[in-house]
Amino acid sequence: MALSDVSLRVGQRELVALVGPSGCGKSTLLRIIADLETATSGDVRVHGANPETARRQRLLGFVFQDPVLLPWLDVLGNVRLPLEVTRGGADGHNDPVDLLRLVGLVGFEHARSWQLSGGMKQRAAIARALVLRPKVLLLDEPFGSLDEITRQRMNLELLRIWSDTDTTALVVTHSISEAVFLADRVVVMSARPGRIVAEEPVTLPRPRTIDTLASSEFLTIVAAVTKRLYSAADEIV
Amino acid sequence: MTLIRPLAAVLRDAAAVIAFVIAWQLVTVAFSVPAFLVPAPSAIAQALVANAGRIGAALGQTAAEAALGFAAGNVLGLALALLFARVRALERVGLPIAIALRSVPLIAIAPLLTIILGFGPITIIVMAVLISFFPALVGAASGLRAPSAEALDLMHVLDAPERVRYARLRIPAALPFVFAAFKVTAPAAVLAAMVAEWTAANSGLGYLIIDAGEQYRFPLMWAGIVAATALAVAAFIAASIAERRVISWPVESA
Amino acid sequence: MRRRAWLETAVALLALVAVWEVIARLVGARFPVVPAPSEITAAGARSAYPIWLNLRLTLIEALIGLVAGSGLGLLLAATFVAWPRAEAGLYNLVVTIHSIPLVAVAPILLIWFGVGITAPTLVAALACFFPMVVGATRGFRAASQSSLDLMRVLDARPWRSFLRVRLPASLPFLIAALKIAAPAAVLGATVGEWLGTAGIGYLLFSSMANFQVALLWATMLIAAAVAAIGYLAFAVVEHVVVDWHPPAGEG
Repeated sequence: MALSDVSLRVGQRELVALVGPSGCGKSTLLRIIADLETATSGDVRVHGANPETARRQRLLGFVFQDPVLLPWLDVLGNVRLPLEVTRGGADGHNDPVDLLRLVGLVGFEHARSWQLSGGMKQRAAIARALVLRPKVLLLDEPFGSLDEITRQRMNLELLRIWSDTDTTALVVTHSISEAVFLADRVVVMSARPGRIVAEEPVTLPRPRTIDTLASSEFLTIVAAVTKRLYSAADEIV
Repeated sequence: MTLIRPLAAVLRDAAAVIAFVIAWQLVTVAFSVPAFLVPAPSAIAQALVANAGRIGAALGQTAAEAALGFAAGNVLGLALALLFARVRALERVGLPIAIALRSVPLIAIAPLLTIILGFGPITIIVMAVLISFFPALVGAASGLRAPSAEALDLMHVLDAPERVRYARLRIPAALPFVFAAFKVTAPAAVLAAMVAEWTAANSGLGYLIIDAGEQYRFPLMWAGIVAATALAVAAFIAASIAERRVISWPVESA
Repeated sequence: MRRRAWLETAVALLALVAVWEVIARLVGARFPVVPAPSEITAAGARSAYPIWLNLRLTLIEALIGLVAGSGLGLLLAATFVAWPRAEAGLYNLVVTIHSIPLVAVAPILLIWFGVGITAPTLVAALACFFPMVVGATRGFRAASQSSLDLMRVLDARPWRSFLRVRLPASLPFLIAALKIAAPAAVLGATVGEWLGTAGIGYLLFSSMANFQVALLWATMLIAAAVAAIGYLAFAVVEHVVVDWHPPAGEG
């Protein structure tokens, strides 16, 4: 039983980060929302609908830690994939070429996945997740396999992309600084059993830049979240 | 094996072959090597020319039978692999049997097949079918199961119908495995056809080689061997070219 | 879980045999070419001694061929790794030899060495040579760069490095290659005996020629079983070796 007693509300156009040690169920929670796993009890609502309905109504976009770009398609083909693959047609979608421009992959439309760096692959994955104009974007440790420098750059990019679209975002990460940098609210989880132990609002102004990372306000919030995490860990006997 | 090599390498290989043939010729002549041991290349070439019609016909026949069997065997194997992927229970039982049957020496089947299906091209084609079938089945089955959990999750999130998941994800993922199997089974189909001819035919390259040997016509026998080798190599090259055309992405060698 | 799969397959096979027996009993008279399993077993039992004699011969040829062919393949692979420059030319030679179909080589060998044990053994050796070269070359190259670097840093002699790092790293590949080579050796020996006067290959041919259908089935099934056992034996070894073998890539 991965999760117990989880109660969370996410408002429209909010960016919420889920942080916690491995085993705390943050990914599981995300996957339940995406209808990739089923909750044994409890109620999950996305824009008023249950996860399965939300998925079928294409309210959700999902970005995995592994970009999963199909090697036999070029970048444009991969971004177009949802349009061609989803049941019952895709009306009201974003233009794939525009999305590639948004994520900064102009000129790479016909590149193949193995020709791209890790960061570029994730940009393509994000574009793909946005093509059906979802209301909610779910990201499961999207930059976990990237190096620190690329990671920070991708965080900036993600914020830019997110602010340009009308989506709610839920990001799972095990990096506290990443969570604080990205989010309006950081939800701290702990393990065994997985549960929410705290929610820290992030009052940093937007748009956030590299300078934000050095600001004392940022560091204070990071310290607060860190403290919450460790004190939760101490509770376990 | 790379097919598109720089011109220099091709020339170098060609030169090596020519040098080898020349050396062979010199040795056989200088030491008066008897024909039953190793005929001189010139004698083999003569036999090739003198029997061009017969060798050509035999080559055409064996090639046609091998090609038919190869095609049918692969179609069957791929179809069964798709069925296995849909019906997991079948796969769990069938796949181990297929893997076990794959290591049965084909030549053991030839006599039985001849008795059951009789003398003639059907038996030969069925042999080629059998040798192509199992690698196609096993390869395709592996390939269809190759996509990662995340890839499958992606298809689920995108609400793709099952048919589309196969067409856009599983089948493309299986293609490298299938084409890799082709490179093995295409020459093997030629081999299988020739083995079948030993018991079930009195024409074709396999038969020609044995027949020539029994009549002590060694240059002709070796000419047949050259033709058979050329056919097997051509089959492999065809499979390689097909792979290069279809698989446009790098794959980890299985 | 794996045991369960084995059980399911065994049950499926037994069920197949049972169904076969029943159908054969009912309509067997019209299909003399597919005798009932009981008949096949009876024919096998009747000729058990001749079958055993021939089988023993084939097994000896296959075994010697396997050892010779694999040994040579291993040596060549080791040469490739030790002298990469030799590889380009030698590899082409190996490929050329491999592309000559076995069915073409067997008659030549028979002419050279006459009827006997030599030709089939050589064909068997040829049959497993190529898979072994390919598998062993991959295996010897499989050692992770970091573990090889470690050996260099410790100033280990090349022979030592080979023994301690390359050889253990190559074991899974070698065994996988043997899994292919073992049935190939049986196949090769059988092909070599085809035109001869002894061995399973000969027995297959003669029982076909004499229309001894049940005996043919029995011989064929035994040949298949032998090949399968060869494969299984190495599959088991592979299972054992891979279990204690550290995952590839770890130094």
